[in-house]
Amino acid sequence: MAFLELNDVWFEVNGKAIVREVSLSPPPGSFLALIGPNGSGKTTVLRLLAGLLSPTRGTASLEGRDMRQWSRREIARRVAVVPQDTHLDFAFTVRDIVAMGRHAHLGRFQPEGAHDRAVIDQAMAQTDILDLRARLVTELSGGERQRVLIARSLATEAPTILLDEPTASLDVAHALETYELCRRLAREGKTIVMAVHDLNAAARYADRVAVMQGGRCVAQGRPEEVMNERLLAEVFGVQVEMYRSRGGWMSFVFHLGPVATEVAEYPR
Amino acid sequence: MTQLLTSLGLVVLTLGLSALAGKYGFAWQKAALSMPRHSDNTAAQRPSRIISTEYNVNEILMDMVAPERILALSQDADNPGLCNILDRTAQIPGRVASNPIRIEQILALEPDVVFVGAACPAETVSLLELGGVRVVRINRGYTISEIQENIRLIGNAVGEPARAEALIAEMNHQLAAIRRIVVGAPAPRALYIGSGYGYTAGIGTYTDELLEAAGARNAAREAGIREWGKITIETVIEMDPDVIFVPDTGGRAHGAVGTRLVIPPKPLEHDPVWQDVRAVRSGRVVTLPPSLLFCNSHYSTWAAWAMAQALHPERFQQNQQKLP
Amino acid sequence: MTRRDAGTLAGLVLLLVGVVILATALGTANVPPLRAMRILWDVLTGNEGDYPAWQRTVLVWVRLPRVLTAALVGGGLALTGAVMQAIFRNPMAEPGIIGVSAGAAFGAVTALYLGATTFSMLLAPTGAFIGALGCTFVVYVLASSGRGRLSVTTLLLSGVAVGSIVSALTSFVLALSLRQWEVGRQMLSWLMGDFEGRSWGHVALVFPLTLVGSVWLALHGRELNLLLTGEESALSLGIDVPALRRNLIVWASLVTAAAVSAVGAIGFVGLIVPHLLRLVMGPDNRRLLPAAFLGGAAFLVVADMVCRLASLSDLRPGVVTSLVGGPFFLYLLIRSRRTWAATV
Repeated sequence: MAFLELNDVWFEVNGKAIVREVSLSPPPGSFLALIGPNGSGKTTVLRLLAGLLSPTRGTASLEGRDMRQWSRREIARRVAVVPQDTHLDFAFTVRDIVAMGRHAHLGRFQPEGAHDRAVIDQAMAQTDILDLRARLVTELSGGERQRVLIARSLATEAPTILLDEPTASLDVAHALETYELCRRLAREGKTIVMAVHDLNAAARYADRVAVMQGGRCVAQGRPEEVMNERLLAEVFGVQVEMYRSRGGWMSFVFHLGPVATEVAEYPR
Repeated sequence: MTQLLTSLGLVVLTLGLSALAGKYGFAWQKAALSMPRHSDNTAAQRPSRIISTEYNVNEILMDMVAPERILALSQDADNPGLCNILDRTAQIPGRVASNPIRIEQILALEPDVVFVGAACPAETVSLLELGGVRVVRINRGYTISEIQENIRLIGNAVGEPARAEALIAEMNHQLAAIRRIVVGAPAPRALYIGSGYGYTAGIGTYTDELLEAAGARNAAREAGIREWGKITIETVIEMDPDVIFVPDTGGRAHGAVGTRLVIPPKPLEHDPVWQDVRAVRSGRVVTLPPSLLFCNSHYSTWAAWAMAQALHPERFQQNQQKLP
Repeated sequence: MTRRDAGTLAGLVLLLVGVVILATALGTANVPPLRAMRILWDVLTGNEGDYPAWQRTVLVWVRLPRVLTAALVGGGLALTGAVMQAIFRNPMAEPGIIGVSAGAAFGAVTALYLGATTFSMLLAPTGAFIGALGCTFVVYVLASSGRGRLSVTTLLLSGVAVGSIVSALTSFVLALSLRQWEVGRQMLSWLMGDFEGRSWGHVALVFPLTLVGSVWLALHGRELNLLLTGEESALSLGIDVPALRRNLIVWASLVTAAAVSAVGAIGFVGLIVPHLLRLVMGPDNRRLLPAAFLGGAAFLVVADMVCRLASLSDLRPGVVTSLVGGPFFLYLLIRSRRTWAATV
């Protein structure tokens, strides 16, 4: 019984199919990267996984039951979402935002307890924002806000975390830290599903990759199996060269227009 | 589902509680202070601490009772545009607000009777009565018979029914006298234009009745206008009145008709649109004191004298009737 | 809750109590303030004093309920204003935004036109209440009749559209009554807001709904905070957004309708007071809602006091709230460094 599963799912808006026939079941304790060009349906798949959208056809299920039968509270305890848009209009402190993640665990009149505080602090430590705890989110940089939202999702203690291009506004160092963190979380047993633009990162950090094109999932599997030049060239519409870095992982270079098709090893 | 039901139940419960609370709240406070302060009959029958909060009551009251019995009049008692007896009202020092009526102000004077108008909200009346005051509601009085009814009501309230009948009789006497003077004269067509945006006096207004008594045909009546309705400039031109009566607004504009604005404001006579009207061309735009036209009291019959003189000047040369 | 916020709340409570006492002590009638205090004390302790009966009447039956009505109405409006601003994530939202004010105006004006004054004092408030809730109901049903999920933008637009239609109808009824100027005057008085003549009956009318509604709304401070982060964010954090929004709107409308039907349309309180307090306390609704209630109550009591003391001039509470609230808010905004919204 898969934890989160999309089974032959279609999602249509105004007769137009955004997602077609997608079947996806991220294995627990793994890092699944969703890659694909703009408009391929990555964000929609994430929202279907989160139960924020209902499939027009097919089923989205959580722990074997249809998503629609779960209450939002129950879903929130199991699936956390880190949105792409980090826009936070209101002058809450960082700690306030992270503490919001505990909502699904607290009763109506129940204030925060010791366990809640511990979880919040640990979430902030994991994302390295402890020193920002009293700052207002409106004063933070985009990257800092992103880490705050990741911390919030950690505070929910949900075993599955869905992230929609979390490194879009991060610099290189912070982006790598985010990927490292997600891989570490996956090792600790969490299920990470992340939509990424950065194919190199996907190849390097993900355990599994799902490639989206035109609303379909055209390939799923380990990066080594799935991410070859021909598939990427076809999906993204560019010329692709694959190299091996010193560490041995795949890295890609892209061109518009024709290029020599021999695969060259990175010169040692 | 249960959550929806509990929410719904809570809403209904609270609504019911509010309705009950409101209903019994008002009833309780009424019962709690139901004892009138002045329970002796003499005071009830012949009150000596009277307050008027409306301008039409001011004048009637002043002619009905001795000034010592009046505690306060409304602020309009000092307004030359609404009051005909400024020198006498100046003798009465007390003034009260009339819109809105201030309950504390009135209760502080400890009156027996307070006259309020039709615009006085029910809450104010209820609170005044709670304070032990007898409240009498007097409408504005739009027709002569309504004005006379008001005089009667006021007379009964202050214990002077005979005086009230005398005032009514005087009104009728004046009107009859005017009618006698103008009887048989050809009735010119007259129109009244109030100060402000084309309002005229149609069927069901005392101004209309005064015009008829003064021997004129009210153009507004013939145009079918009811009460103080608006008349369009086209209708005016069509009716082509011989005489136009306007209140004296000190040379300022007499108001635009319909949506037509006069810029800069100037009196009717200089407005180019009005030049087509016979009354304007022949210079028969007559100004009357506004206090006579707006007073809604027995003094309005004096306006009829002025109207009659303007309409039938030839009748007044021989009979030099006393013009009050 | 930080110590500073607790201090602010305590300060607001003290402010409200002080202002209520002050407003009861001062008024149009010439009752010396100390004497007023003594009268109130005697009433509470059941003593008969040696002062004129009318003074006791004025204080207990005229002034005190008026002040309490002002407090309840001001608190209710400010609190629902904060709630509306959270639901719509819009700083310009105020309690009447989904048609409560427009509907109440129409209901009251119609009731007055049909001669409500002559029949019963309860008719105008009842008409206003029915009008307010009816209008809100129509707005909500229209906004959620599409197949898509109800979005706040749709609700807002629906409120504007229905509100405009209802306002036009109100103007029509008002114009119809201009022929009888007296009724027109009453309607205008209602439309401008009026505390004159508000008695214990009005307090009883307003109190249950305001109390229950305000408590219910204030207990949902945490959920409102989550709503502020965005609809999808709130959903993913475990909030049933459609249900919560519906409940919030129902209770906020009830409280606003109760307030508006008792005293007429008083604007600005629901808009300004939450803003002012947010500048001081921050956006956390768990603290902001109770503070808004206290602040709004104090604000309106002071506004009513100003109206009463400006003797013989026709000041209305709505005018005072606008003239006082607006410039003060501008001043605070310019001086404040804690911005309300970082980006436009």
